[in-house]
Amino acid sequence: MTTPVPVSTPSQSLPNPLPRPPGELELLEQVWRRPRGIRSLTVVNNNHIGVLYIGTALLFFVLAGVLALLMRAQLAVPESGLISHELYNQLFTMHGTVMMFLFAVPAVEAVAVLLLPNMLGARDLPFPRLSAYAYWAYAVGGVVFFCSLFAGLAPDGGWFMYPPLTSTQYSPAVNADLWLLGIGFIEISAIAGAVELAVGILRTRAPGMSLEKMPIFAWVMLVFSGMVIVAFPAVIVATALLELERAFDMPFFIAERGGDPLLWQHLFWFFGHPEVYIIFLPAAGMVSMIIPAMTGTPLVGYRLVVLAIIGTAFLSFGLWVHHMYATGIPPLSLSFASAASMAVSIPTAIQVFAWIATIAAAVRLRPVKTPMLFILGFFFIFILGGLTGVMVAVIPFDMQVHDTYFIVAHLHYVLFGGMVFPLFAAFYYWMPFVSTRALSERLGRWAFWLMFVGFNVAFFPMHLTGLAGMPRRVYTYAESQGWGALNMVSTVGAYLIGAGVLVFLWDLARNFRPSSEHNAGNVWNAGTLEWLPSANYGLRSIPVVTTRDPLWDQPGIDDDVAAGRYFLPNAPAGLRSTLVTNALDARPEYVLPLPGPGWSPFVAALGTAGFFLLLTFKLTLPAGVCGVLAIAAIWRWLWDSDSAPDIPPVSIGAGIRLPMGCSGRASHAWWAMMMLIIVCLSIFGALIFAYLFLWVTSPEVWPSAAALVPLAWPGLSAVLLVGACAVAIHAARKLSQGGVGALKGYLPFGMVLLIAASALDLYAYWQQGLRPQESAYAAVVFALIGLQATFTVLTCLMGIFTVARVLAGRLSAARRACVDSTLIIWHYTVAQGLISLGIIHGFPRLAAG
Amino acid sequence: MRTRFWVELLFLIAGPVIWLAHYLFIYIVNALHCARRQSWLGAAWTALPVSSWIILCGSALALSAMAWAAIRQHRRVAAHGLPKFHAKLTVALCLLSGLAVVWQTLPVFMVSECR
Repeated sequence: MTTPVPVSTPSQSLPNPLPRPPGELELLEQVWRRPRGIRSLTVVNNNHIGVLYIGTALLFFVLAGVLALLMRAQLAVPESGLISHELYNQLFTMHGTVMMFLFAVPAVEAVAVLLLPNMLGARDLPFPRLSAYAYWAYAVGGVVFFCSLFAGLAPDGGWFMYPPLTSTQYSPAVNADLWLLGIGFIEISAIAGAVELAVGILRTRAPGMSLEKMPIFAWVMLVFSGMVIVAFPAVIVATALLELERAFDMPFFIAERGGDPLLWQHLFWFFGHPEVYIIFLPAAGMVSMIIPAMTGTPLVGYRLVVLAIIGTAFLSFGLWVHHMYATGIPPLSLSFASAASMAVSIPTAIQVFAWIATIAAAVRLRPVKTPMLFILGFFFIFILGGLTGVMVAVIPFDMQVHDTYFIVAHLHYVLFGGMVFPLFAAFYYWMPFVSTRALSERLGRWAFWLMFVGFNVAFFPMHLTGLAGMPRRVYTYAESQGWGALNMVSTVGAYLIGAGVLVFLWDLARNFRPSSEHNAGNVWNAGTLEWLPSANYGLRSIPVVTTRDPLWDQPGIDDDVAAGRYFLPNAPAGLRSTLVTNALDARPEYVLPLPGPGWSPFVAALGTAGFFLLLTFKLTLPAGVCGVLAIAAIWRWLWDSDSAPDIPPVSIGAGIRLPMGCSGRASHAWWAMMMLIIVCLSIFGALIFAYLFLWVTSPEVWPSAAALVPLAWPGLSAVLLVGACAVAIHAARKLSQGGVGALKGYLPFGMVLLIAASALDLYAYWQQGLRPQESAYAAVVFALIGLQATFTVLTCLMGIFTVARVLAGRLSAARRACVDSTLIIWHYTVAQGLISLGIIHGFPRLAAG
Repeated sequence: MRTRFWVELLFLIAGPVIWLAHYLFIYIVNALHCARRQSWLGAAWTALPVSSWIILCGSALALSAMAWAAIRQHRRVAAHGLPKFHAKLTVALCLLSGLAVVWQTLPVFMVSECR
């Protein structure tokens, strides 16, 4: 349903009249109340989860920073005996891993979880329990992962974990497994967050906030989410393959049996390079929000900045090979990556020029405030990093500095300059949004100058150390090599950065007083919606937006929103809720009831973290118990959802009545499922890439057509899959006609067909004598069959859940979101199974023919 | 007038999507040529191997597809009454992506394919 919305809203024609009915505000406050005591663990509001999320990310930043300081202490003088080489290996691996996976990505997601709902005019994100689950899984898993350092079990193969160094032969201990399983599931948490953010940005914008009126931070987080959804599956597949190799001797990366270590590098960097932009783009988005507020001027070149964000995101996927210049890849192929590496500087430069132009057009800039200082520092450092980036994009130069400290300098200039400085600017800028008072300007200046000077003192000399030939990841060096003085300077700089961070923490301790009820407010006179008066429930009412900077261009909007004169000023049916609008032009479609606090996300997160971490130590039974606990908690969590048809349509103002909830393609759940399908496609695509890559590099281990399983086997599997699909379609049709009971028979029958199809394919190869340890070919075939089996199990779990809801009377033709979601995964599983059969059985015949 | 979001999204990002498809295509063609040196991909025709000619054709196709998408989006925006921002974004992204395609095709004339 789409409802017309007034495009202009003069004060007298606002959607809701004053005075508001008695008790309306009290009910709103009551349903959005924050749980206290031990129940505070059950909190799901974005404004509380967001603060916890940012705090945890900051904790990991500090911890990984301490590891860096230990390394710098070791390198300060030649031939130092402070730290052993075993511990040093763990330190640099954990520093990189924690900074990238436990600080940078979660930090930008966390800022988005905290800010986006208010920035978009929503009360919360569309799946609050998913935010809570993603946060707790990350926090618990991350802390346990970090603590492995104290037991000497921390990963030690570098943050990119290249095999064969990380294979069983060279890394037999569990250190590598901890990385593979620990980081693997933290990536799942990141994907969960990205799906939620994308759906939130597309479907919960304030009425009137069409795409060209979205704040730049919403644009970058939308692009960020797309990049996470496409890029992260590649590293999930890579980690799964390496873990399968380590656990079951499946030789994906063992050259003697047709594997190829370069497969890991391709998969890792197809994730790893976009990862740099996954971190940088949100930081750039923060800069695009802060500069207009600091200068009192709308962002110059808004459209060009949007172009630059999208262009950078795509081009970043073409850069993965530039991490592999020294691996022997053909020169023309390297040139493609080199050209893309240079091309990406164009959209990045567009953003930088837009920021400079905005500052040039400033109507207020002096005195320069702390957030602006950090942004000016970001310009200086990031641009230097960008220039050395163009240098290392040139292949012959890169060959010279490959694996030297020049690269360490470059990547820190890009990442620290491009992400940490904007993040600190964001801390100072948005602190009045979450705290009763802003941070101190005086301490902020100290923190900035210590960090800025410290950073340049630490990392600029590393360019020279690298050009002088010092390799990365060495735990010490001889005095005769002449690197001592430069290293000592770098160490002094590193401790200056540490001092700057300490000043910031002191400032936090003195001034950060978290409160979503009584925040310091719009101290910067900024123009975007997050600076409207807000409380636990977000905005009192959801405004109609007519410009990009509503607080500047729509006079009185803050008072009208706070008075409840805009849409949805209440808690319909006594539930938490937010307004869902359509994706293109943000017209109201329905009111989405939101879940309140609950234990299930917390317990599910503990179960998930326990499952993966205990599996690392081969504690199979406790891991299994945790897995069952996680599934049971998720079951409980989803059991109460989709209660919509029990509530009649509600009035949101301006005479508009909207349904509470929605099913089918217009629903937010359908959109989330579509994004999940893109994740599934990316996982499947990465595995198909692995299959084809191994065929290109090792055709000798591929069988002849005569040695393949006879076509009757895959033919029968295909018939079973098509049968499962037909059964599901028929069941859905019956449901539409009101025949809910039919699902009880059709779905279990369809599940049997799906399981039979998977089992048949596995049996066909097994009885043929193929074993996954034999060769890379056998391993990748079993990996594809295993992926199909995994999806079959997932589909069956969802099918069982659907049947259980039928039996409990929680499913009907009008209340069918559960069955719709199940059928999306169901049909995807069938399609993936058919393509998989085609590749496993068809491709070798084509290639041999 | 209403339009479907996913179709609109595809037009908005048509340029970079085509660029990415082109990038993966030319990378794979050259990789296959170098991995299977004796195959027909390596046969020389007027100083360039067949693989390079395929890459050049791919680039021409990609540029044509971008031009088509930009023109079509212009007409769609007018016909559906969509904001002009959508048309401008599509055209600008096609221009940027087209530049990247040309830039990436140039090494075909300058760099040896496999060693």
